[in-house]
Amino acid sequence: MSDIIIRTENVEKIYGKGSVKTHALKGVSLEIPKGSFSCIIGPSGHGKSTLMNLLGGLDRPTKGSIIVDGTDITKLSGSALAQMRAEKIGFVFQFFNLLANLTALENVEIAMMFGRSASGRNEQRQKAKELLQLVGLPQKANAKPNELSGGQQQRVAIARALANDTDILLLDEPTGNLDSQAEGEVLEHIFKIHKSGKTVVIVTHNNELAKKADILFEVRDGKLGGTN
Amino acid sequence: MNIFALVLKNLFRRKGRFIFTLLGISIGMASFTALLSMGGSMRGEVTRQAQAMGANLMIMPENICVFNQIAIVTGETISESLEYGVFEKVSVLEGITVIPHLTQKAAVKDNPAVIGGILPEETRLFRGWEIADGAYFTSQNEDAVVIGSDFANRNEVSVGDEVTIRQETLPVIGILDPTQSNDDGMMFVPLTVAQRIFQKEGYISYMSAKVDDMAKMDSYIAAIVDTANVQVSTDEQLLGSVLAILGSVNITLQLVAGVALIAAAFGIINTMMTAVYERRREIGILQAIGGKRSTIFKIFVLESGLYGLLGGIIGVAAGLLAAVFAGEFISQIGANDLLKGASPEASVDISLVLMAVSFSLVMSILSGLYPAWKASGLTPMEAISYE
Repeated sequence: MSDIIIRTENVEKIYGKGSVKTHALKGVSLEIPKGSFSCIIGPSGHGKSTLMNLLGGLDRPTKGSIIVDGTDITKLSGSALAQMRAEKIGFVFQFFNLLANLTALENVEIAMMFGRSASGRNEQRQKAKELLQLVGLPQKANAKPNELSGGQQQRVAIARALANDTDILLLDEPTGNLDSQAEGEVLEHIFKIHKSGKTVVIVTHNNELAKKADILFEVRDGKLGGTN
Repeated sequence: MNIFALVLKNLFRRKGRFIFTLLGISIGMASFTALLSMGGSMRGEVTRQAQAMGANLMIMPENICVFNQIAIVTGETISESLEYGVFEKVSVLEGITVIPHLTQKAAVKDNPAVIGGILPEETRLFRGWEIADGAYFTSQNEDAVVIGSDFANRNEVSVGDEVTIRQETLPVIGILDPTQSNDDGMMFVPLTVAQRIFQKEGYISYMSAKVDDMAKMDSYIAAIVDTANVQVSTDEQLLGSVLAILGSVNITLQLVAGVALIAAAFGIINTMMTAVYERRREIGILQAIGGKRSTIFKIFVLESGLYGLLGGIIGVAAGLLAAVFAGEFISQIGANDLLKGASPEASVDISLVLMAVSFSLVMSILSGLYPAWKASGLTPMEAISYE
């Protein structure tokens, strides 16, 4: 676990222009070892999700650098950053963010459109089926998102995040919108994925989950308040 | 899953909007194609009819308007006339063979018909007519009718029947072999009979002439003009001026259709812009899982392109059908044989089809560029945060 797969150096993020500015992150520096299980905790509105979005290359910092697997992603072009997201990072959002007009299987397949792990249509389909099997939803392959429960949708989102065999899985409050039973099911799959060797970073309000983390980052007022 | 499969799913997700946008393009393309096709048919038909006249020169009343020139080419009646004496003067000129025409319109068997008054023997030789059924005129003032093959078929007239023209009943003595000219849709009577029936004694409508030596065309024209106050055009000049008018009419009609197409293009832009706003979150999701800006751009351009391709195919098919049916309808109600060339064979010009579908495709892709640019310009965060 000593290889560092994600490192940030003095990252700042300021939203807004002119006199109305919000200093969301103030000089955040952290290191996440490869294969670790990390949690980011902290009060709402203090910059957890902003940090997560920056780590995943969904947003760019105002200042500082973010090195993912040896590449400073702040210096990448939009196209290269998108390629990096496809090949190195799997994202899971609080509100699932599945494409409503696609089936569960297609939602998993679509991520493979952008990666390099599976190119042929049959190969994609086979792999998507395996991933749905992994998250316990083989029977829901042809269901549309509106035919799935919240927990099931989140499991499809996890399967999608794994579609390109990325080393890193970033989850932004993955159980924040689920009941306790669904939360348990989703977490079970996340632990299983971590054990397979993936680096997992979760933003969470769940203290029980946080206690299981290898590394715990607390974000408060845009700063890292403590690291265990 | 590939981009094309995703685009198809996106297109059909809002069926109502898809159908209405497609209808907009299809109607625009249908009107454009119909007018283009009808214009092409008219052009082809005028050219064919002018060539079938078999004349090198047309001798018409002086200062004849272009509409009457079109009427001569298409076998319609003209509003002006020449004195018969002019024909007599021109007919004695050396190196020129000339025949007179008196064309008039009347209702025959409850249908409008064009009746040609001719010098029977001279005209038969000039035009190269053959008799398909019955007999031909035996004298210059025989009270009888010879009809073109189309006229016979359309009005179910046979040899031995009688037809009434302006209250004069005449026997049909013969049917001409098809000539592929406007003669096929006409009825013919001897010139003196036509002058009597239509009270045009001493008058003709125009004359057709053939010359012995094409190299001396200018001197023939000068000789004719010196003989009488007439306007002389070569067949090429006449055809050229008629086609120029038709071309102007076509361009005007196509401009009108162009407005419909522009409206359809804005329909696509509107649909695609709505799609961009509705699918902002989806655009963000695609970006989050690795979709590049170029991919988002392609998705939206492909969607609008597919509207153009489908709308183009449907519109062109509908336009060609409309051209055929409208052609027949106009031909029936107006006794205007100009459009009789608008048969399916005449209208379905493969280059026109390819050109129209390509035009629809290109127009739609161009219409999709701005919405696609807007969609691809969103950052993942602003797209995914959209509620």
